[in-house]
Amino acid sequence: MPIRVPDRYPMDSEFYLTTRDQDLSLPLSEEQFRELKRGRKRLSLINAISHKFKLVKSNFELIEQLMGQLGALYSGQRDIQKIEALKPQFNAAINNYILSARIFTSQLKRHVQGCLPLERELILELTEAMDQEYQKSFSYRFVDALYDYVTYYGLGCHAFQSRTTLVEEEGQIIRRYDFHAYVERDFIGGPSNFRAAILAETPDRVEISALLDDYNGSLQRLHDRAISMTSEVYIDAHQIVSEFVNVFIAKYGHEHADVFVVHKTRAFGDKIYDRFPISMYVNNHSLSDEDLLRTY
Amino acid sequence: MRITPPADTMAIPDDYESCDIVSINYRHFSVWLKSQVVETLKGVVTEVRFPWSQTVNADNYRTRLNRLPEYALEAMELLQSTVQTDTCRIISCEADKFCCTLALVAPLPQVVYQGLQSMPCPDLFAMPHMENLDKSAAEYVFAHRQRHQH
Repeated sequence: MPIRVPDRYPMDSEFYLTTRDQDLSLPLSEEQFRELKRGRKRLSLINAISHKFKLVKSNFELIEQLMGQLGALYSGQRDIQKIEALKPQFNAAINNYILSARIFTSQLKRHVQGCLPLERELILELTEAMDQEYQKSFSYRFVDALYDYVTYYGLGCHAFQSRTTLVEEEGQIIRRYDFHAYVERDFIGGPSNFRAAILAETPDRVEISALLDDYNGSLQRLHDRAISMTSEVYIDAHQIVSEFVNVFIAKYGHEHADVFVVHKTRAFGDKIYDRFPISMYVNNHSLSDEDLLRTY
Repeated sequence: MRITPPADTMAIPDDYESCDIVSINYRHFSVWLKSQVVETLKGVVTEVRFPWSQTVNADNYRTRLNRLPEYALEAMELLQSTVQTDTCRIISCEADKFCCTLALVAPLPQVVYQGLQSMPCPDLFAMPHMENLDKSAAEYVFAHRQRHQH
């Protein structure tokens, strides 16, 4: 007996817009559901690019804060216990920075590709932009290689320098205090521990805040590139999703503005097969238009 | 990064600049006379190397070298008060975990030797080692800074 293959998997699906606890709902067609699902996916990918970029920048700010505190403690030289407590925190901030930088760079292409599955040219362009940063900037290469070192050893900083110099400011000689943190080449080890080509071009000491400052520039360029590539997609998806949210609000009122999309299926005993939030993408208080480089 | 110093900042003597390097297995603290002053000094540079005493060594171990700058400045003050002639100045002081090295410039090396002989044996150090160098004060400080700064 021939097996009859159904032209569509008989899930017997139903689609709804619902409130959080599903006491109110509006039915959707399958096409509308697909549209919303695609829109949500794109918005979430583009938001992820911004969130990850912010992650790197926030870790950088933490490094600067801790460096200021540690510098002040070293210039005081009094509170040994506090110094010893702060040193691992400083190292943690650097580790977090390096890891978050890798989270950003390793997924950037995938996120853009998810939004623009058919635009091979654009993806190539982004790949090239990333290659170019790698070719042009020692900081980019070094941070990239440092990721392996940091994941292996959990150490992102080897030395500090706390110095005072006498400088003339506004006609007066004053003592100026400076603080720097370094990665030392001698402590990195040999080529078996670190990418050999980069080790060869590494100076004796790499000053961390200058390194990361420069690296931030590279990431900013890549971020801006990715965001501008996806901006059209973003605006379209944003429009579609907000239209549905607005329809729901128009029907049930503003107190029910937290809208979800639900995919139910009989095949699962009337259970929920898929569910995702949509209001958070059209009414996002943690990302500003500026983050997403939007100009309406 | 420029630091706003806290109120209780460590007192580096006037006219001296300082650099403190803290690394994983070494620490290096140094102060030196600022270049405008050091360039005007003439005479013989004598380097005096004081190894840390057992007590200080033990304390350095316990405090993870965190009191090294304090000890170095103490040593400097001690030597300064011992050699109290206007013609004799300390041009640099550097400390690592093994010893504290002070460099003085004096018209004649004897001034330093005499001064040291009259000094009561300090608790901080074991027997010092002295050496006269064929260098001007400015050259010495320059070389000293080259060694440890980046």
